Amino acid sequence: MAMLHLIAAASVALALAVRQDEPSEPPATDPPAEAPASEPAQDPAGAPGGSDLKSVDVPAPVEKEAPAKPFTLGRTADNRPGKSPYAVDTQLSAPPRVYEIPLVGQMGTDIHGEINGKPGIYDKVIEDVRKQKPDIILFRIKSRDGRSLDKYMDAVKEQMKDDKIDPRRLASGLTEYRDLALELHTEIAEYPAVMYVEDARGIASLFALAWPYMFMSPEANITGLDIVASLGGGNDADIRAKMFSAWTGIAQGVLELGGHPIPLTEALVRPDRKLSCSIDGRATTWRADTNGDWYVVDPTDEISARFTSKVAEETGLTDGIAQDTDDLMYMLGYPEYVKVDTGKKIFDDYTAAWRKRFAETQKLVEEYQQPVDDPVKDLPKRKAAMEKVRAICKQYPPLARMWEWRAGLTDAQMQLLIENLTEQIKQIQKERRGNSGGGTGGGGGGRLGGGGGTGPGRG
Amino acid sequence: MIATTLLAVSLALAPALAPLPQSGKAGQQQVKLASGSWWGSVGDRVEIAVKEQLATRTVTATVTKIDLDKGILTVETEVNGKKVARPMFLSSIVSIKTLGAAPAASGAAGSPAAGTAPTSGKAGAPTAAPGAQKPSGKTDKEGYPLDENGYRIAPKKGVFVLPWKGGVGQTARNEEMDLVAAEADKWGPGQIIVLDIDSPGGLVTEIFEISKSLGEIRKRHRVVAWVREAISAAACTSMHCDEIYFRTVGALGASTMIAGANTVYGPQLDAFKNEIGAVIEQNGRPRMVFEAMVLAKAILTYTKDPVTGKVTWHDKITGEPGEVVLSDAKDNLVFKASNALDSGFSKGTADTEEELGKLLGLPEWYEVSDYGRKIAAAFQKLFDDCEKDVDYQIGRANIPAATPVEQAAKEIQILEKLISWCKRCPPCAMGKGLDQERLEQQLKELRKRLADMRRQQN
Repeated sequence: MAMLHLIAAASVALALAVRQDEPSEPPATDPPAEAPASEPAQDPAGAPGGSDLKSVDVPAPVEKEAPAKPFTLGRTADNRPGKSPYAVDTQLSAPPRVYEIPLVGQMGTDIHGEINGKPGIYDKVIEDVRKQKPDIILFRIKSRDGRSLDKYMDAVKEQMKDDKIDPRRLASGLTEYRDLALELHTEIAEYPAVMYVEDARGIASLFALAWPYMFMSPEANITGLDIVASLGGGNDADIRAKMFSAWTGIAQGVLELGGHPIPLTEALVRPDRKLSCSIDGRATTWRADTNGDWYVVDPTDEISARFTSKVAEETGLTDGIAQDTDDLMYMLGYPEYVKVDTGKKIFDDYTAAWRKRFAETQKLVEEYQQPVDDPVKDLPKRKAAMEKVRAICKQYPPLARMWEWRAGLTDAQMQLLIENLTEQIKQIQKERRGNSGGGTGGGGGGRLGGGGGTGPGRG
Repeated sequence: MIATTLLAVSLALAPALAPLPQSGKAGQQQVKLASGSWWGSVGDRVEIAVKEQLATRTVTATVTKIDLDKGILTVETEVNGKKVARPMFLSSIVSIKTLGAAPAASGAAGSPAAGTAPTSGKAGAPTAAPGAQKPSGKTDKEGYPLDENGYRIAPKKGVFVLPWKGGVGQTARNEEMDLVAAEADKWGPGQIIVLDIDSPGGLVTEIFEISKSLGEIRKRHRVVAWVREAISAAACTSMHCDEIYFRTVGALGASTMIAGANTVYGPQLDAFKNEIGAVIEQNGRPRMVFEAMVLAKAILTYTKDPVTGKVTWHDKITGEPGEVVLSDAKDNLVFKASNALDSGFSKGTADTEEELGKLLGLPEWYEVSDYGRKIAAAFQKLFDDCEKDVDYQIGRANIPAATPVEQAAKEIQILEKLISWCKRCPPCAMGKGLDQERLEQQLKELRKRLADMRRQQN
C-alpha cells in the first residue's frame, strides 16, 4: 500500500515538474547548534515534567529525521490548519470529485447566513455536500461592490451619495459572515478544502482569507477591509477605541480561520498598521512594520493592506495564481478531476429565484406608489400590492433584507402600512354606506419606509 | 506547557521550601502553601485549588504522598474514569480543604473516606464522578436514578450548556445562570457548566449581578466560558469563569464602561475597576489584563520565557526580545484565539463540541441535561417576540381610527399589550423605554375617557 502511494506521488511530481517555476525545497539540514531543545512532553495528568534540576541536564534525544515529503509545486502544507487538498497529501487513487461552493454576488444578500432566524442557503448546500461525499471542496469567491482598488474609502464615501447600498451596511453583518465562515469550516471539516479567489473587495475579503489553502485568479484582488475599521465611532477616545477594537477584533477572528498571523490580520483590517514580510524558503514571516527584507506591502498608516494576485503570490499569501478552476486543480496535483456542481446549482437557482422575485416586488412597490385618483378602487389595489410584497419577502429572506437596506422597509413596517390601508378602506366603505360621498383624500401618497434605511426610499 | 510553568515556579521558590516541621497530631503534617498552610495526612480526601497559568482550578482528590523536601504533594484523582497520580508543587497550591479524613492507618493510597458529604465545594461529593456514585436503588419523581446522597446519577460524565447570547442584561442574564446551576445541583456538586458566550456586551450594572451569581455557582461547580464573541460586559463575565476556551473566530475584550453615549469616568469607573478587577484577580487572572480592556491608555504586553514558556505580563512596553504588544495606548484590548492561547489567557481553542469535550477532559461530548439550551431558547424567543410586537404596537398607535371612540378603544388595547410585555419580558420592555407604572396610569385615564365618550354617545 505504502509503495503504491509512493508511486502515485512520484507520478504526480513528474507530471508537475514541467510547470516548475520555483526551486524545490532545499534538502533537510541539521538544526542549528543553538536551536532550543524541543519542549518537553507534557504529562497527561498535567504533572510537573521533573522533580529536580537533573532532568534539565539530560541531553535531549536526537529527533528522528522525518521522511521526506514528495515534491509539490504548492507552498508547504506544514503548519497550516485544516486538511490539505494537495494530491501529495490526499493520496487519492482516482481523479477527485470536486464540489464547488460559490460565494458569488453581494455580501449579506447573495452570500448570507441566517437572516432573522431563518437558515441561509448554505445550510442546504452543506446538506448536499454530505449527500455527495466529494473528495475536495472548492470554494469560489467573486464578490465586489464596484469600488475601485485605490482610495477605496474615498470611493465608498462618494458612492454613498447614490442610491446604492452603503458598503458599511454590507459590512455590519460581520458577525453573520463570521458565523457562516465558521459553519462552512466545522460542518464539513472532514473534506479537504481550497479557496479560489476570482475577486474579493470590501467585507468579502474576509472569506477570501478564511481558508488556509487559497489560489487567486490573475485579475483578482483582496482589498478593502478598511471598511471594518469604519464601523466604529463614538463620542470620546475611549468609546472610539472600544468600538474600533471590538469590530476589528471580530474581523481578525474570521481571518484566524485561515491560519493567518496577527501582524497580517491586523494590517488587513486596520488602516493604522503597516505590513511587510521576510521570506525564508517558502515560509513567510509577516511584520507590523516596514523592515521586512522581502516586500513592503503597506507602508502607510492611512489604508489597510491590500493584495493584487501578483503581490499575494510574491509574498506567499496565496498558494498560486490559477487561470481557472482547471488550472487550480492542476496546480494541486490533479490533471483530471470530476466536477460536482449540485451545490453550484442550488446556489445559482436560489439566487436567480430571489432576484427575479425582487424585480417583481419592485414593480409592486411602484404600483403601491401610484397616486390615488379613486380611493375606492386604488386603496385596495395598494393594499394588495403591499400584501404581495410582504408575502414574497417572507419567502425569500435575502429579498426582505434588500428592501430593508434600500428603503428601510421592514416586515413590521409593511404590516403597519397594510393596517393603515385597511383602516382607510374601512372608513371609505363606512362613508359610502352613510351616503356621505367623496373619499378621504387618498391616504397620504404611499410613502415607504421609516427609520433604519441608509438608502433613500424609492419613489 | 503547564508542566514547564510549574517547573519554573518551583525552581524559583525551591529555597523557600525547606523541610517543614511535622506535627505530632495523629500523623498529620503541616504543609506550607503559597499562602497559609494545611494540616493533613496521606489518605485524606481533599479539595485542592491549584493555580494553572492564569486560572485557578479546583480538584478533588486523595493525598497519596507528601514530600516536604521537594515541596511536592502527590494526589490521586480521577480523569476520564481512570485514577491518575498527580504531583503538584506546593507553591502552586492556593488552598486545600479536607473533605474526609484518612482511614486510621494512613500511608496507602487507599480509598477516600467514603460518605463524607461536603458542606460545599466543587467536585466534593462522590456523585460528581459517574461511576463513583453508589446507586441507592431509588428514583426521583422524574424517574432519574438516585445515589445514596440523593443526587441523580448521570450515565457518564458530561456538561450542562447554557447558550449565553445577545445583549448582556437582555437575553444574556444571570437569571439563566442561576437556573442552570440549580439544575446541575440535582446531579451533585462538581458538574461542568459551559457558558457558550456570543454577546456584544450590554448593561454594565448587570455585571455586578453576574459576578455574584457566578461567585456562588463556582463554589459548587466548574464554570467554563466558551467564547465566540465576548465583548464588553461579556468579556468581564468570561473572566469570572474558572476556565476560558475560544473558538478560532473568538474575540474577547473591549470592556469600556459606557453610560448613554459617553465613557464613564470618576468614582463610578473606579468602583467598577476595583470591584470587578478584584474578582478577576481572585480568579487568577492579572488585573492589568482587565484594565487594558477598560481604558484605551492602559497598555498590555507579555513576554514568554523561551525555555519554560512562562508568561510575564507588562503594563508598559518594555522592549524585551520577543515582547508581544496586545494593546497600546490607543487600543482597547481584545483577545483573539491565537494570542489568547499563546499568552495562556485561554486554555484552548475548540470549534466543535467534541473538540471542547476533549479539552475539558471528557472522553466524549455528553450533555447531562438540555435544560440550559431550552431555557435560553425560550427566553430568546420571548425577547424577540416582545421586541417585534412592541414596535408594532407603537406603530399602530399612529394609525388613525375612524372615530374617537374606536381610536380610544384601540389605544386601550395597545396599552394593555405593552403592559403585558412589561410583565412578561422586563429586560426587553425596559430596553424599549416602557415604564409599566406610567403605562398603567395612562390606561386608567384612557379607560375613564372612553367611558365618558360612550356615556355622551348614549
